Amino acid sequence: MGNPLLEVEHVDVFYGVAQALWDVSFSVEEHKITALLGANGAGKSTLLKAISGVVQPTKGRIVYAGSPLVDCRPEMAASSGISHVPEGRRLFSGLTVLENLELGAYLPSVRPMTKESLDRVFGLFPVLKTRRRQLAGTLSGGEQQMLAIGRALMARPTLLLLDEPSLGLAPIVVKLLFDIIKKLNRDGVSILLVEQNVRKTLEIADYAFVLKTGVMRMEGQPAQLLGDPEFRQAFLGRIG
Amino acid sequence: MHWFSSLATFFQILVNGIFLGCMYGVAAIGLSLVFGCMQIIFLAQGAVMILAAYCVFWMVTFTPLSPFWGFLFIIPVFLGFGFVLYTGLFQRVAKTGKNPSLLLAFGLMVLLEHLMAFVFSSDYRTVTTKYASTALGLAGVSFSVNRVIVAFVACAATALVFLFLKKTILGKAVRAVSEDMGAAALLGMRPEWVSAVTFSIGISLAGVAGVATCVIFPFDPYFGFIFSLKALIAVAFGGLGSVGGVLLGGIILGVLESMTSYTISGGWADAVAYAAFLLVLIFRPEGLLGRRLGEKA
Amino acid sequence: MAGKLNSGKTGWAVGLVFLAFFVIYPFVVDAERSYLVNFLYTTFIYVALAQGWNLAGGFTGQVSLGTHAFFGAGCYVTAILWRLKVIGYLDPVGMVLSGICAVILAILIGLLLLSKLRGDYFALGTLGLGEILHVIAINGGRVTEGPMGINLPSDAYVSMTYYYFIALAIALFTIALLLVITRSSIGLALVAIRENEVAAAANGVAVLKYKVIAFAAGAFVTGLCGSLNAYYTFHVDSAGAFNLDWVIIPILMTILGGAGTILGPILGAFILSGIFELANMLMPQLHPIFSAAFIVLVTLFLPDGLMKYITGHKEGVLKRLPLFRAIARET
Repeated sequence: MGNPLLEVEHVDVFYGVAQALWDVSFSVEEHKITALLGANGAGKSTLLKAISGVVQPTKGRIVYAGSPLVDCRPEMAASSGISHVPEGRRLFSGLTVLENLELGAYLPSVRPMTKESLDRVFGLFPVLKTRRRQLAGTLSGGEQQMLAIGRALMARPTLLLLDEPSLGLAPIVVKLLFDIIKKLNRDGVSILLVEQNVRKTLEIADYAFVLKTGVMRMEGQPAQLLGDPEFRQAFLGRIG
Repeated sequence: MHWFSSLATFFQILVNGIFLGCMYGVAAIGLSLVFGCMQIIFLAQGAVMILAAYCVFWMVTFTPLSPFWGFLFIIPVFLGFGFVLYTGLFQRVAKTGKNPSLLLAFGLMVLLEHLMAFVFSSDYRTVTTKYASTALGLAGVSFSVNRVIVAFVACAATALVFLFLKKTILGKAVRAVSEDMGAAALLGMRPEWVSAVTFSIGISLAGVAGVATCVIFPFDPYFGFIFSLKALIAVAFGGLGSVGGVLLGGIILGVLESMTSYTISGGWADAVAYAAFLLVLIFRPEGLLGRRLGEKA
Repeated sequence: MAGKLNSGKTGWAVGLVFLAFFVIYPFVVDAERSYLVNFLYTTFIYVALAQGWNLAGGFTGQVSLGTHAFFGAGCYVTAILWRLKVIGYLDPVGMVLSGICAVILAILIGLLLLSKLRGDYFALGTLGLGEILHVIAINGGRVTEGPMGINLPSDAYVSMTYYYFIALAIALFTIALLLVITRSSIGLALVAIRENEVAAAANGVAVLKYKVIAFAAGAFVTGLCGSLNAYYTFHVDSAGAFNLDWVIIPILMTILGGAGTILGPILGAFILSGIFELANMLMPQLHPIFSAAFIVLVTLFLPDGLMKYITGHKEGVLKRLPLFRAIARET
């Protein structure tokens, strides 16, 4: 077993008075692809936001690379090496592809390496290089997702949080995307992947956790989960 | 209605309008920057302009310097002033929402106006320069040197801001934070710092516009509010998101006012400006060159 | 004593006590010279203006900066009609007519602006409306007597008491109007629109209709106030009628007290009015500075308004006073 890069321990998260996560614990291994599965509204995005500092847990703690993240703001999480590609991508549509990428390397620790990082991203996503002077808002869905991931990579993260990257994309683009995710992992980036596309996710994940209405319900290796009747019923019994 | 007596007169009025519009434009760019970072209409922009005008007035009264030095000295001073204002006041309310920020801007405006009236008295002040009565003549149109210099400075300021936003990483961060603060934070940008910078630039632009104003118009402490409104109209005309567009919007406003003033009367110039403003808001809210104010996806 | 408080009833009781005081007081003092009577007159008008704004601004989330448009319209309609001898002094018909004119204006502009503009844009549009009316009044020739304004026969003046009670009546009417509307299904629709307009529309709420209703109702009250003001000052001119103070002060009062609550604007009106008077008495020269500084402080430290502070604050001296707890329970 590898080292746990990220440990989430007994975390509660509230939005105002509404509780979104109850006593959630899990861990992400270094250099592995960890999947976080669950239906809509289960709290997967919330959990990612707690890790990247967008929301603060009211109970429990999050430990990253050995140090606890306390009162963590997104900027701090980013400079610790966590890159979060949010739901819906949230590109700067009024800025060009190149500018979006440049901003990905905004942190002083990675800014000197912007040129190399750009080359690397263009190598992974050649289409971004072709469209680099285009406004981000004019790209297609798949290209936007690639830009979002590319932008997150510019910060040279050790942990990449991906929130539903396949949402709204054509299957052929999804396949391409997942191939890239695998490649990134082979290059050394630890990945926490939140997805609703269960089949494809379990094909590439090393380990998976299942969240249901704010509570961590199941975990296991993909083969184990696929063999579990409760899991099959919840996720594979339905169409889609 | 009173038509133009000659083509030369028409051009004269046009040119006057363009010069007037440059001033509106500079104040308007500041306004649109502040809108980008705080999502509110910064009503105090005009009051800040007048504060700068007073600074120059007193500088000219106590030193032999020409008021045009005011441009040089106001910019850093007002950058600092803006930074202090933001970190001291607006940062605290930014989290609570837009209404408190709007009210704070309004309160600041009233406070500044009344403070200035108290300290400087409500008398009109004017600032004259060596060039006050010189004019260049060209094809029957007279270009007052004062106004030429002011217009030049306005364009230079606009160009500088444009370059900053387009070419520097901090400028790009400013644009990014204006568009999506949350996504920017995830990339490591500190929204408060970037907002403070944006706001400071907006204030220093108001300062520049103020220096321009004092050289051309007589002013009093309450003069600023009308300018805030006009700057707002200029932003509506030009649209957000485009620095050049806002300057153009200011120029269009200036020309519109100048023409109406001449053909109908000064009083109606304001009404026409407001009516045009309403029309643009209703029929082309994104302005001529930019994005919509107000509604963010 | 705390245990005996019945939810809400004490709040109403308190309100009635105040009301009784307001009704009786002018009869026990010399109304003409009484400082308090004059102060209350002004404050009642502010209560009405603030509540009027509150309906569209606080409950529906449509911030309007055009109060002065309706106020000024009310002033001028009354002044013009009175001068033409169509209506008389303190004529309720005249006042209602002014209110109706304001409503018509609000409906026309409201339909135009609210259907196309959101948020800040709408606010700016209303501001523009006020300024346009302002300029029209200045250039209105014989109808509006230009910038000098219309002079009205001040020999018609009888007694301060009339103004006082009319103002009180308007304030009570406005409060009642808000109570009725906000507790009805219209009120539900308005709040739904404020919280999430898109969701409200998706649920079948006729968004535009309700926005216009709120806007027009507020305009009616504002027009009434303008009309009364014309009778009070016996002079109507563009600078006074369309003065931006008529926009700013009611909004400030509502925000101070708590937008979207019934009690908020009332509290805000009394407190701010009091502050202004106090400042005027203590430091007449510095009064505007003091008031402006107060505005800045309020927005810094009480951005949600007094009511939210009272009802939401877990600790706090005020919370422990039975009086305030009773009020808080009611709202």
